[in-house]
Amino acid sequence: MINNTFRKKSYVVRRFWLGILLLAFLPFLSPWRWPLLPKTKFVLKPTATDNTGSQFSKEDIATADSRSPMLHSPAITQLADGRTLAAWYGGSREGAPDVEIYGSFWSPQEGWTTPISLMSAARAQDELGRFILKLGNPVLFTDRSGRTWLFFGTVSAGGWSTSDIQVTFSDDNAASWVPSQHLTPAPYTHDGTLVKGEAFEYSDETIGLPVYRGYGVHSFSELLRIDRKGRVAAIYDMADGTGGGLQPVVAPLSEKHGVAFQRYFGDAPHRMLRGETNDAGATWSAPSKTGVPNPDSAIAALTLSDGRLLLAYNNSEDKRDNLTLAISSDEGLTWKNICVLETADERAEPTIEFSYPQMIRDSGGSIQIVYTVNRNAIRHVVFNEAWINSLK
Amino acid sequence: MTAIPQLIEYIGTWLAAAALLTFIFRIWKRTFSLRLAFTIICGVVPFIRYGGESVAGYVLGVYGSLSIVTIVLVGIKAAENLTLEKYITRDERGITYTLLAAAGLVLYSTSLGLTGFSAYRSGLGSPSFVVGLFGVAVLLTFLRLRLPALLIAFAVAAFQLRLLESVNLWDYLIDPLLFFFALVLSVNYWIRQLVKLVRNP
Repeated sequence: MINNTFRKKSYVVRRFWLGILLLAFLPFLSPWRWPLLPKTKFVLKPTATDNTGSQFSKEDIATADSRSPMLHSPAITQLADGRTLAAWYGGSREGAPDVEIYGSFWSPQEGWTTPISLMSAARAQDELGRFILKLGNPVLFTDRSGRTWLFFGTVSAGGWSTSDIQVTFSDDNAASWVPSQHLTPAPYTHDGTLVKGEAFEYSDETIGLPVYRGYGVHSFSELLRIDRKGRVAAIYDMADGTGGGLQPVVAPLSEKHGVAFQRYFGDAPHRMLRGETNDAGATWSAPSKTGVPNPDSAIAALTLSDGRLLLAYNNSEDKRDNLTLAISSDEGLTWKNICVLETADERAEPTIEFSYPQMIRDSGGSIQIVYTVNRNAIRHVVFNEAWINSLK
Repeated sequence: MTAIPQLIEYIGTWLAAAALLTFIFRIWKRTFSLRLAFTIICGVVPFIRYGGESVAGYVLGVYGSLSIVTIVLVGIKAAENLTLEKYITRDERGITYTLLAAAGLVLYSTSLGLTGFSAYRSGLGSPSFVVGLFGVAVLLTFLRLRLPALLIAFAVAAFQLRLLESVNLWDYLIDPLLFFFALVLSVNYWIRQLVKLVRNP
């Protein structure tokens, strides 16, 4: 009798718990709650016709002053209204609590505006509801809907290997920004994730954001897909278990096919890394060394209107004392140098560095590059494909 | 940060403070009314501000978001401290922490980029992960291990409601502090089991 009662009670209890479990899991059967992302395609930038002839210009956007003796890591995007927005971080020194992310707007007619603060540690702390010690690299991107995204690194404790990434966006050409949100690319906070390479867009309106993570001697790259609400919706591996690659840059070549290039932090020979995808970034080949030297420094790459690739890099294995442009007609397997944009005076001591380039191809077909000059100026170079072709 | 994840963070910090401070101040020696008053007063802790940030903000900034499982477990502990009742048997607790430690070992070791595989990526919409988790929860129910099954149900329900900032199911199930805590307690549990077995073969 007692045994039967116990069995009956146990049966009821078990059914109760199973009911609770079923209730919790049931929404997964509903398509609107199913978190699985559809397979998607790269959005290729439309080919603009530029009949203006060969053009080239160079100008400083910002230079060091008493408020910001150090300027570094510029990012660039073209806003929906046609203006260009550049952002960089500046302060007393890299990693100092007074570092802020500054921005400046540009149009060919009006030039660059006076830099304004886009983000500070205090503002990020207030918006994120969490303690923020300092700010790091920004990345800007404007999608087809006209929304401008600002991704940026933050540190709450320690150095860059404990960084996090945050995101904010603007729907009014960077006049106002929504409160920043925290991105979660790893199962722990302070995961050491940072951004550098330009973002790109997928056909389902998600954003592709190349990121990298480093723990002392090991670093590797990943590709995040960010949904319209600014949340990490998918994470793709770009390293295949290999270390040494960081600051990836993705260049889509067709709807499914693309290549990525990475800064190399590892054993000699110091060469830029290259990987390839045939499923719009969901899987990547293991990164392999190219013939392009890389002094453990950031690179920038983009696809030209005719499918060739353009690269901005430091042509050296150990110095950032030059900034060189190169062209590839075979998807980045081999490169031909076409122009030395900057080179340091050999007599200068210490050597001047030109680093952290970022490039976009704007709606008018012009290529715009921003980069750091010796960490005390942010420089902007504009040219078109006619200028590139004139360099043969 | 939106309002709901922030509220969850405050609740988590409150319950953790209640569980911890009760232990530090040995509050179980007091009357029920005093214990209740102390638990409620601990609700102020997350709002205490220092250097322009609240305690909850420091927890979030320095430690990161608490998982739903952590919040439920500290909630149970706070309730146990309040009522002086034990809601979880030692075995159930030991097996729960063993499961959490095993899950954490897989999750955190594969997220370091040493191989091309990362378990964390499966938390963003992998059908096999969801089906596997459901299977584990059903199995635990049939094994009468209600606590881990309940924790999974809570975490999944919170995930469906998107109560945290993250949309990764793993972030609802486990966090690093819970992992280390579970690792230590599960080792302690299995050593005790072994000692018991040796003494009473």
